[in-house]
Amino acid sequence: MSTEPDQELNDLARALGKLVPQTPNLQRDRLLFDAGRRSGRRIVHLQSAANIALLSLCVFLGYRFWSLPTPAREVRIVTVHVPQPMPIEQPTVPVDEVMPDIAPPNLRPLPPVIVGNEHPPTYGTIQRNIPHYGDRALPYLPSVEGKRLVAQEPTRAGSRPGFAESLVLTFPWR
Amino acid sequence: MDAAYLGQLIDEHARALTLYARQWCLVPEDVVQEAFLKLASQRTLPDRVAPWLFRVVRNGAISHARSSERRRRHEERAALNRPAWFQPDPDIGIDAADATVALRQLPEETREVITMHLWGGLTFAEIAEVLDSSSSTVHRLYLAGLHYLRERLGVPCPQNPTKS
Repeated sequence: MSTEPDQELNDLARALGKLVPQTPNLQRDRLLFDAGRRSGRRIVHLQSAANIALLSLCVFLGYRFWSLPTPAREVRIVTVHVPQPMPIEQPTVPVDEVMPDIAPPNLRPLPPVIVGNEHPPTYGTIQRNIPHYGDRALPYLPSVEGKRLVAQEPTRAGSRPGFAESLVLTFPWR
Repeated sequence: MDAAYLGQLIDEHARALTLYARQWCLVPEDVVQEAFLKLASQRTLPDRVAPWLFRVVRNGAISHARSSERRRRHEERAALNRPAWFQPDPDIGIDAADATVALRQLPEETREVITMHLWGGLTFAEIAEVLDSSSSTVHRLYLAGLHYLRERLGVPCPQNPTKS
């Protein structure tokens, strides 16, 4: 007896369920477009928030950088011990000593003597040898006989004409 | 949210949601559209989308109905040319206008249960979740509503008894 009303109710519910609601005036494409725009707006909000956060961080760090106190300039005194210079031994060469014809064995060997067509010493070489060997460093003065150069005995040390003459003659004249 | 899925939800639930919102407001499309937009802007989808949509539409429609009087008058003018809640179909055996009138005469909560169950496809548990009620209460309201509609509409003769 109780199943008959239930059956009736089921038939009624089935018939009501077949009723189709009115089609809503929803613009489907417009709705999808708005939904996409709204979901994209959230991304824009996130980007804006990130930008604001980074900008705030930059401003804060800049303020901290400029507000930092400048450190005091440190002056450091360093003592450097410089060693005493060693005295330079001056060569002792007698000025007025007359050179013997034969050099003693303890003396330094004589500079090469320019004879004939050999290369004459340069001015710098002579200048370096003069303090050590005196006028013995001077080359022998050649004498011009015809067109040949003949070696002569060295002139006396200290004689200006002889020295000048030696400089002139030892220069590579052609 | 995927646009295809959102379109599928619109196709499945827009009619029932509009019918559901029509109980409170005369221009229910705005409420339904706002509900879908709110769903699209959700970071995580709700577990059960249909009850969530019905709940949002319910809240929106009630809030919309409480809005200003000027809007109400505007909606009434807009609703003058609006047809009944259902599309007329002579094969069903129930007049669409009569069904609309009978539904309108139901108590509000009962009408909600009938609408959500018959045209929204929600289970009694889901309806209870939307209404913050129990399943037994919802079922009781559903039976009471069907009894009332049967008195108003009469039991329809099934067109094809073999079909269930």
